[in-house]
This record gives sequence, structure tokens and C-alpha cells, in this order.
Amino acid sequence: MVEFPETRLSLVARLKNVSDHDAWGQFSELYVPAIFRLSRRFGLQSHDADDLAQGVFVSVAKSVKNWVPDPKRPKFRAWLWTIIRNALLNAIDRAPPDAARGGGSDMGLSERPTDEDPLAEQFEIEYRRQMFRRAAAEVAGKVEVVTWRAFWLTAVDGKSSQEAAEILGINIGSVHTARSRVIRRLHDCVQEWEREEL
Amino acid sequence: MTPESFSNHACNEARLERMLEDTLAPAELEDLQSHLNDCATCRDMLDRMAVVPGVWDDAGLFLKSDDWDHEWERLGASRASSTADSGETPSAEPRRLIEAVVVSVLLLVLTLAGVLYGRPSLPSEITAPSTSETVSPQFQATGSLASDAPGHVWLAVKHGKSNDELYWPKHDLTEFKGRQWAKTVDEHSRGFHLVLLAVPDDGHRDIEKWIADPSRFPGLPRAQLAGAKELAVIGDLKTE
Repeated sequence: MVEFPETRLSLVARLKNVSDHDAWGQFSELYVPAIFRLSRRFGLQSHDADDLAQGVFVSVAKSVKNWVPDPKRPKFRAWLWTIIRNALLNAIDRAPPDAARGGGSDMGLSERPTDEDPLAEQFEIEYRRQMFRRAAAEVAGKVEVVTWRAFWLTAVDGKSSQEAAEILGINIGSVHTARSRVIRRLHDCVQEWEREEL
Repeated sequence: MTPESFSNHACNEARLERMLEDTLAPAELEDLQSHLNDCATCRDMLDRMAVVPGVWDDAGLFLKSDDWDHEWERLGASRASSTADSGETPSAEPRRLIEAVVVSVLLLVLTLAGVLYGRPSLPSEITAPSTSETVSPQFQATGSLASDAPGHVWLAVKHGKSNDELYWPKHDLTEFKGRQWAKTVDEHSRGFHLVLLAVPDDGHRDIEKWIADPSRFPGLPRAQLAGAKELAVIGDLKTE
């Protein structure tokens, strides 16, 4: 799996301004669905997971002004993970002892997060998922529809290039050029965000 | 000399790299695509050059929608619906306020960009899939929405014939007015139509309530969507 960059410092810096709606919109788009999915994976019911995600959002709004970039201190995502982890612990403490698992979860409520638990790794995966989706949304708007569909059919729907070519009415060579350009752009998009950190 | 060996004369890694960088002239690109059509070696080379290890796997893993994505969308619709019902002001919930402001600013910027650069307005249309196409149970639909499309616009699946239609709204596309959209649609019925459905405020609220209802079935009758108007229809789609 590709290593994804730490949250852009420029974005984090902008979050300190509570009226910077664009920055908060980006933050919300990137993290709130990731926290929701993480909470569901942890075993919270759908509405509890939603509440937790919104609660973390509010907690960050209140405390992000105290976070300063410092090589000796945790990175932003590690700091954020502390807030999420505390929110999950609180959710466990509030849940009745016989609370049922939410559907489709990988971890039950009784499994409290620890310093080295797989949930932290799962948070990274959910974060990467949202980063990738943001990149996809950006690239999809910049390429021809048939180019994007050739990529989607082969990369996401699992079609062969031959099948994709038949569906789209183009030749296999065009499918390969289309999907390779999209993949390259997706990668470049993430790399560009990474460079902005410097 | 076989066609395969003849086409291999055009194998050129530098040309593939230029294609990936979008620096090939249209005629060169057409020539390269023709070559790739016959040359499996170059297709493999291109795949290797384009794909940073892991990105291809991540695309399949991260872009596919799952049950939690659908839950998240339903919760979003439910929140919007409860806000409308309670008369709650946007400022009562930070995210909605932020999203409303962001969308407003984006729409303003897009509108201004269209005016300044004379960009022709986009039509309200579904560009994919095509009429009578066979699609997978989870397929991607794409299109555009005119900036002056009326009311709220939903991407919906339609079953049935004239005067006996049932709509199954899938995605609220209202925020895409004036630009292109792309959505993944889950549909397991054997035959259906895909519709861009414009509805007034009342109809929009009815749809949100219907989505929030876990017992909903079997779709929203046309009669319950007063003032609904079909902006575009892709007919006779079939699932694999």
C-alpha cells in the first residue's frame, strides 16, 4: 500500500482560523467520514458512530489552536488520533455492559484501544481511503468521461481491458492509455499534496 | 513479417512516457493507441511505467463503495431532513454551515469563471452508461448538470412504464449544478432506466424522508412527487 503524506501543514495552520470555511470544509471532507468508518469498524452503531465523528470535529475546532508543529512533538495526525482514541474510550464507557456489536464490525466494544492496537493502523487506512477519493474526484473532473470510465471499469469494477474496450466501444490500446494516464494523475495528485507540506 | 513484429518497430519507452505526461500530439497519441492495440509487450510496459507499486491495488480497495458508505450517505440525508423539519438554523451545526458556505463559494467561483471565460453552459445529461447497456450491479454513472437546472436534482433509477413509474432516488446531485458529476450506483434489478429527476422543495423533502425510512419499498410512485420533471433518461439498462 502506498504511503500517504501527513496532513498538509498549510491546512492545519488554516484550521486555527475558525472562520476559514474552506479549510474546515476540507478537513471535514477528509476526516469525518474516516472517523465514522473507523467507529463502525470498532463496533459502534451507525448513529453512535455519526455522533462520535461529529463530536471529534467539534473537539478539534476547540483545541486545534493549541497544536503547534514541532519536530519534538507528535505530528498532527498523531495528535488527532489521541482525540479520536479518547472519544472511542468515552463511547465504550457510556455503552451498557451488554451493548451489542454494530453490524459488520471487526472489533467489539470490549476491545479497548491501546497504545499499539490495530485500530490506529485502521485509522491510517481510513484516512488514506479519503485521501484517495479526494484525488479521484479531482482527477475525474479533469479527464474525458471515456478516459475515466476505462480506468474505473478496469481498476475498480475488475473488468479486463478487453471487456472494458467492448463496453466503451474503443480499442484495447485506448483502454490502456486511458487507465495508465488516470493512475499516473492520481499518483501525481497525492504527490503534489505531499510537496505542499514542505 | 507478422503484424505483431511489424508493430513492435514502434515500441518506444520514451513515447509511452510522453503519453503519460500528456505531451503527445493528437496524431501521435492515435498512432500509439493503434500500436498498443496490437502490441501486448508495450501494453505491459505501459502498465508497469504508469503504476507506482500499490496505487493500482489502492484504487480497487478505496474507490469501491461499501455498506458503510451508503450508511454515511443516508445519515447525511437524514440530518438534512431533520434540520428542515425542526426549522434548525444552519449555525446550530458547524459542519452544515461550513459545507453550505463552501458550496456557495464554489458555485460563485464557477459561475464567475463561466462568465469571465465565456465557457458554454453544460447540459443536464447522463453521459454514461449508454441506452440499453448491460452494467454490473454496481456501476459508475457520469454526466453534467446545467447551472439553471430547476429545483433539486436527483439521480434516480426508474422502474415501470408510463403512468405507472416507481422512482428509486440514488444520489442528490443538486450541488453539481453547472459542472460534471460522477456517482456509483447500486442497482440489482434486471432491467431499469436511469433518470435525472428535478423536484421542487416538497418533493426533495419527501425523497429524503423516504431514504431515511429503513422499511422503504418498492420505490416512490411518480404520483407522490408532484412537480417532478425528468431532465434526462437513459433507458433499458440491464444488469449482468
